[in-house]
This record gives sequence, C-alpha cells and structure tokens, in this order.
Amino acid sequence: MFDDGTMRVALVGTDTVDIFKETVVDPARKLIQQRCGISPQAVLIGAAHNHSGGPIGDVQPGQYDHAPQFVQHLAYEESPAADRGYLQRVIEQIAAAVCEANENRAEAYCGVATGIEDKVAFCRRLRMKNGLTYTHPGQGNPDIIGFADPIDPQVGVVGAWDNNGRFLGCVVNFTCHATTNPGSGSDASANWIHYMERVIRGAMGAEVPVVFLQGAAGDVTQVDNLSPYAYPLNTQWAQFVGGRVGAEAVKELLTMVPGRLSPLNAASQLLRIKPRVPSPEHVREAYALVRQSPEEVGRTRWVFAKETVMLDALIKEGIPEVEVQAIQLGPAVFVSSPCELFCKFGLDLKAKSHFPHTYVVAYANGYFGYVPTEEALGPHGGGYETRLTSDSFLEPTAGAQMVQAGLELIARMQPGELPTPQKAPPFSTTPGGIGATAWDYGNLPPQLD
Amino acid sequence: MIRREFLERNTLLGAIAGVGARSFADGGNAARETSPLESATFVPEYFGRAEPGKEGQLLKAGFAERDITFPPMSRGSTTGARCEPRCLMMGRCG
Repeated sequence: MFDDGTMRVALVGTDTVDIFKETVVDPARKLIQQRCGISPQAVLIGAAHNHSGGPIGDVQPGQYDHAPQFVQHLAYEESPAADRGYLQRVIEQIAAAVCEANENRAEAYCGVATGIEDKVAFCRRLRMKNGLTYTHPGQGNPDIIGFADPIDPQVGVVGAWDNNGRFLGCVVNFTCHATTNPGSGSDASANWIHYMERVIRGAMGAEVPVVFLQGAAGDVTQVDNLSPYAYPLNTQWAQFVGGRVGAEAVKELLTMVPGRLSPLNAASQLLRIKPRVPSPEHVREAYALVRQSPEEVGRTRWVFAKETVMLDALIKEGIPEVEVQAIQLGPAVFVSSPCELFCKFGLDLKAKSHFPHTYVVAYANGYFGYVPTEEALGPHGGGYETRLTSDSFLEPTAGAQMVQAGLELIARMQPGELPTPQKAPPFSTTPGGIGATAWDYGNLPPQLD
Repeated sequence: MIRREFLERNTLLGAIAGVGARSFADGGNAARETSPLESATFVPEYFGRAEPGKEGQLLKAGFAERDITFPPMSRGSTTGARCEPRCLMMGRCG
C-alpha cells in the first residue's frame, strides 16, 4: 500500500492460479473500500498463476446456473471448480492484508529498479516443420524449427525502507508460469515464488513481505523444449527458477536508490471484447462427443469437446467487460490485464510506454483465459492455447485492444523522477584519503631503481 | 512467514525443501553472539544518500501478508483437479 497524502494505491499479490472479478476481485475491493476507504480503481489484485495453489480458479460457483442441466453437470461435476468457502477466505484475507498495510503505513524511502533473468523461462510454443506452431512438442522432436516467440527477462522490483534503513517489503514482477509444482507435483504450495521469497528474505530480513505480480506469461514457462538435457525434479526446478529470480531481485534492491517516489496515480478502463464463437456445427459435434465416455473417444478429444460445450453456454450468457488498469508509482507504472496474455503483448506495451519502468501484470483483476497473438491464431499458428475453450475465447485482436487501452491510460500519466544518488563533492587538490581528492600514496610515478 | 507456512503445512510428511526454510529463517543457535558485522538486512548502496529532489514528501508505504492455506478438500487433490484440462491434456504441468 502506498500513500502520497492525496491518494492511496494497493498492489495485492496472491499465490493463486487465477481470480475472477465477480467472485473475488469485486467483493474484496468492496470490503477494502468499506474498511479502509481505498478506491476500488486504485486496488490491483493479481494472481501468481500458481498451479499448486488452492481451489479458486476455473469454474466459479453459479457460473453455469443458466445453462442446461447437462452443461451444468459437465461444469460442476466434470471440471475443476472453485470452492465457495475458499473463495470467501481469500476475499477476507485480501481485505485484511490491505487494511493492515494501510494501518501500518509509514514514511518510506522507495526505489524502483529493473534487472534481467534470462535463464529460467522459455516460450513453450515452437514453430514446426509442417508450418504450424505447437505447444510443448517435446524435447528432441526432430520437427521443431525453433521458439515461436520471445520471453520477457525483466525482473521489476519496487522496494521500501523506513527512516532507519529497515526494509519494509518489496514488489516483484516477473514473467513465467508458476508450474514447477514443488514436492510430489500435486502438493499445495506457493510454487517457485516461495523460493524467490526465501532468497529475498535471506538478504533483506526473515519476515519481510514480498508481493509477487505475474507478468504476461501466457506462453512462457520453465520448460525448455530445446534443452538436450533431462529436466530437473520438481522441487529442484522450483528452487532454480525462484532462486535465480529472487537473487536478481536482491541485486536490484541493493542497487536501487531509495528516495522520494511521486506521484501516485490509478486509472482503469473497461473493454467490451467480442468472443470467438464456435460454429453451430462445431458445437453439435462437441455435444455428440461429450455424451460418450472419455475412454470411448479419447480423453483429449473429450476434454476439448466438453470445453466447447461449456464455452457455447458461457457465450450465450454474455461475456463480461474486461478491465485494464494502470497504477503509477512515480517513475514506474504497473499495467494490468485479466488474461493469460502472450508475452509479446507485454513486450509491445513496454516498448511503447513513455515510463522508464513499465511492468505488465497479467492474471489481475479477473480472468478471461488465454490471449494469443493474431499470428498464433493464424494459418501458421496453433497449439493448446489457441483452441476454443472456456480458457481461450476472446477475439484475435483482444491482446492488441488491451495493449492500446493500457497505453491510453498511461498516456494521461507523467512519469515521476527516479531518485538519484548524491553527487560526489567537487574534486579537491588538497591531499587526503580516497574520495574527491587524489590519493597521495597513489598519484606517484613508477620506480625502476 | 505465511508463504513459507503455505508451502510447509500442505506438504505430505514435510518431505520437501520447505522444511529447510524453517531452520534457515529461525537460526540454528540462538545463544550465539551476533557479530557487529551482521545486520538483520542488507542495506542498499545508496540508502540515505539520494538527492533530496524537488518539492514533495516521502511516500508512506505499508506491507502485510495473510495466510491463504486451504484445508484438505473433499474432492481429492484440488491441485490435481486444477490441472485438467491444462495439464492432463498435455501430460504434464507447464
């Protein structure tokens, strides 16, 4: 929580897979406004896209109540679903955390810095010799040509210290699916973010809060399909990703210049984005398939058919508006999207931003599934994220629309100055020690006698 | 504290590396005297040495965290459930 005396903004990171606007974000923002008066527009609530978190994502309570009984069965009984009690717990805890942060806010020296970590994340979509693009085609596949898209190696960090140099906490932004799933693979955890936090706490203090905001990681994970070597075990992998991101964050915390950050700003825009609608024939075929058993038709075909049927019901109910938000902290701005944005959109937004530090936060303030690039949805695209499902249904221009909306929001904001270190005192010819004078043991010619 | 517990308390038999985080953070020998070279936190190179800048005051900042650990659910492994269709379809999570 940051407060400049006239405005307060809150950045919330949750160790969840995704969060829906209607069932988590709106209720949490409402509680926050009631309890501590922070405007909903100034509260960003992000999900780490943690695949080993609690039951919060996918089918929401009541989401398919309008649909025929058979579709309700597919959604509520045959699909991963959020737990009503857990949703309420997360809402309460988000509100409690923001209100506690609001209560304990104190004057702080804040800094912003951006590092680079380019060895832990990879595009999981690869161009193939058949002209298409596949998701996870597999190590050693001879038909792979190369990665389809770039990654975003930036590690964005905002740190805060009190007047005595005590570290208060930090916000970290990085782009990589949280799919390392430490432990047995099905244990619940905060995923690699736990190890990132552990590294930061090792340097900065054992109990310091670390807020993690996931980037545009729709097509970026820890899996390198081009690696010739066997993948590590889950926990090792989580430690590798989290350890390196955490170490980079620590480097930036030590390098940034803590000082005044201003101004604060928050703005958001609601977009009405059209869906990609499955054809009537596609829906008919899907119904025919999903009425059979997965064993009869094959699990993959059955799951995609189920998804088509569910998407058909979702679209008939109407697609809610998509929120794009921008929150400014002086020279830094966080631009959020409630989608699994492909990485390229995040890079586009950063390239066009006039802020020296632009951080893209995906999976925030809602959830609308994957947003592939138009190229990925074109004749040379393809792969898991491009299939029509309840997790991928926005029109091909959705990503461009969100980038444009984000740029319009930040165009109204003027970046604040980045704190800079004090200049060294003027050089003096008076003999003295090391500093702004020549060292009188060092400014001597060589001796050869 | 909370993210560490989130990892540890949901781990079968404490068999994963989160257990190591407890000893890492709690310290192994409370009686040991602290060296004057040790501090609770690393301090940035330029802490306290920023240019005062233009008019304006310091931001106020506040941080807090809460536990969102969940109890075992009746429908079996919720995280496993989460991974369908994404992960089951791909045969792996990632």
